[in-house]
Amino acid sequence: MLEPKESVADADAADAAQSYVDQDVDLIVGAGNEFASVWAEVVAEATESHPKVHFLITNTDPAVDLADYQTLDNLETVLTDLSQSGALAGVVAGLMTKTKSIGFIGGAKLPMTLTKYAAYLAAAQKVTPGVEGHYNFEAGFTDASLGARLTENWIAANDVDVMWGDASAVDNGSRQALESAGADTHFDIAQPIDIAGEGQATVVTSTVIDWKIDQAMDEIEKGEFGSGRTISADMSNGGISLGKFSDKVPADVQDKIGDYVKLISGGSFLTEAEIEAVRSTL
Amino acid sequence: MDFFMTSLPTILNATTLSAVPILLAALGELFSERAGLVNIGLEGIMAVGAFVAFAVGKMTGNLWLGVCAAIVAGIAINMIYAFCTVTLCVDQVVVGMAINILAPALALFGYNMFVGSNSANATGVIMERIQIPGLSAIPYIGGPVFGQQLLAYLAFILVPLVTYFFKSFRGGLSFRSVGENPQAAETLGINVIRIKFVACVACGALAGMGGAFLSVCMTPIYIDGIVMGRGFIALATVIFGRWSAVGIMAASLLFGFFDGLNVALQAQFNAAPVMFFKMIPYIFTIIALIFFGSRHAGPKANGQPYYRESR
Repeated sequence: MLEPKESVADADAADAAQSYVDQDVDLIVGAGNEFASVWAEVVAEATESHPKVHFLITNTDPAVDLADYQTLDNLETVLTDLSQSGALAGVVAGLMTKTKSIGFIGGAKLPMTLTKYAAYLAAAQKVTPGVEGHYNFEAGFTDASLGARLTENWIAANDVDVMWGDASAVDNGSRQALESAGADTHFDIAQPIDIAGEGQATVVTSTVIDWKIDQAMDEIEKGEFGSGRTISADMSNGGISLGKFSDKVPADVQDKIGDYVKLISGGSFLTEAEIEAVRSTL
Repeated sequence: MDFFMTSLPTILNATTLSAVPILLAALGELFSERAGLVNIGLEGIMAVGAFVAFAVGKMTGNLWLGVCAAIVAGIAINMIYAFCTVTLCVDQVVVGMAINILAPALALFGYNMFVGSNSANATGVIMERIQIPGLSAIPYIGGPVFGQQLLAYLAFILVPLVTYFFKSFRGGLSFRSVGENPQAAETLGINVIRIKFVACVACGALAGMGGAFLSVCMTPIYIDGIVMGRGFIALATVIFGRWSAVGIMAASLLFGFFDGLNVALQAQFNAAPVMFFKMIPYIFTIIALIFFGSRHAGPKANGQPYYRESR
């Protein structure tokens, strides 16, 4: 049975986790590395008092985010390959843009956001030289109207015709602005779930993330979970993938994207140096 | 110069879009404060209005039904404020803060019930824009200013109506009397309690409508925190606007302009510190309050509980 708690404020995150510990649940998942900074005490106490309770925190680098944890016995993290995710979006953007002008909105200026954007722009420029990128890394995650107005401005001033977002509700606003500008000429790449289809006129495809919760649950059943291990989510294990295409992506473009996907999966499409070359300008 | 010319349509569009929810809520607050009730719970009422408009609009497919439902919800929430402050004479600031805590939580609870695991309910639609023939064709300003949704036009039409009401209607004069000196108003035969309740109805309705604008005109979604401080900005615009509908409209538009400028700067200067641009509308609000914030200009009995038997 899954029991979600949504919109938990940072101040309440530890109490929310503790309430699940008290119920002796098998697995508590923290969706985002903000949970890493507030769960240290809960995890330490639960390891003693409730050894069958396990913790999984997504988007978390143990070396950076869990440095002050006393124990990692019942904890694992999930790290997605952000370069792959960005490269997939970049290939689609580079092949779909007619104006050679693409945009990106991020919720917070985190290292992982910069990596995603750097890979996105580097990939777009690799498939279509001369592509220009426009970005905002601090749009937050709630103000959809900001997403709409930023995108509207980029469309008017910079002719942006493809967007990719990493800002939750803000991305909804961005899609609204793209639709107003013309859903046949302005496109969005969604993430992290596959939402291309009816009701999403501008979404041409999605970069999909599977947080590998099933892997964590399998490990718990086998008694192998814990020790602060990191579960990698990448293209090799289905952690990162491209969703279905809308009918606005021509067949020949879909074929080209398919070829690039193989290169990205094989690690031969973008080098770390190419990504770093973009990241160093941000 | 290039920046301003290319960004002008976006800035003007953002000016009107940002101004409307603030204008509606601030007009509601004007009714409240004219009757001596400082209602700092606008933020909460707007949150409920935003959710109810979104949910009812989505369920019925009729956004105007959503707006009507938001008005009713805004009134219902504000009746809590009315009962506590007018009937029980509880401190207005304390009750307003309680509304700001309670109402968004109710809205979030309702949202979780409404959307739950049904992601199809997470996104709605927004109202169509109406292009005013001729005027909307004016270069640069035509589209952004004369291509708004009907609810935005209604908000601006309310400004002269509210001005006329307070200046020329007996009911408007009664409001002003109650806000200035409720004891004297009572001796003139004005039912002070009734006026205060009517003020709360108007305030709840307009703030609810302001919230509805956020979820059926600005964006097609509801999200926790969608009001983003606009209720508090509306409070400031009432003071900045010197308790007049026209002043409030000017203050709302000015705030909207700085908000639009903030977005245009964010969009065009990628590498600059975004937080600096985000501060612009709020710095303007603080500066405006420093220069125009004297409460001496407001209704004299503002914020004071009214005890019918006291003289």
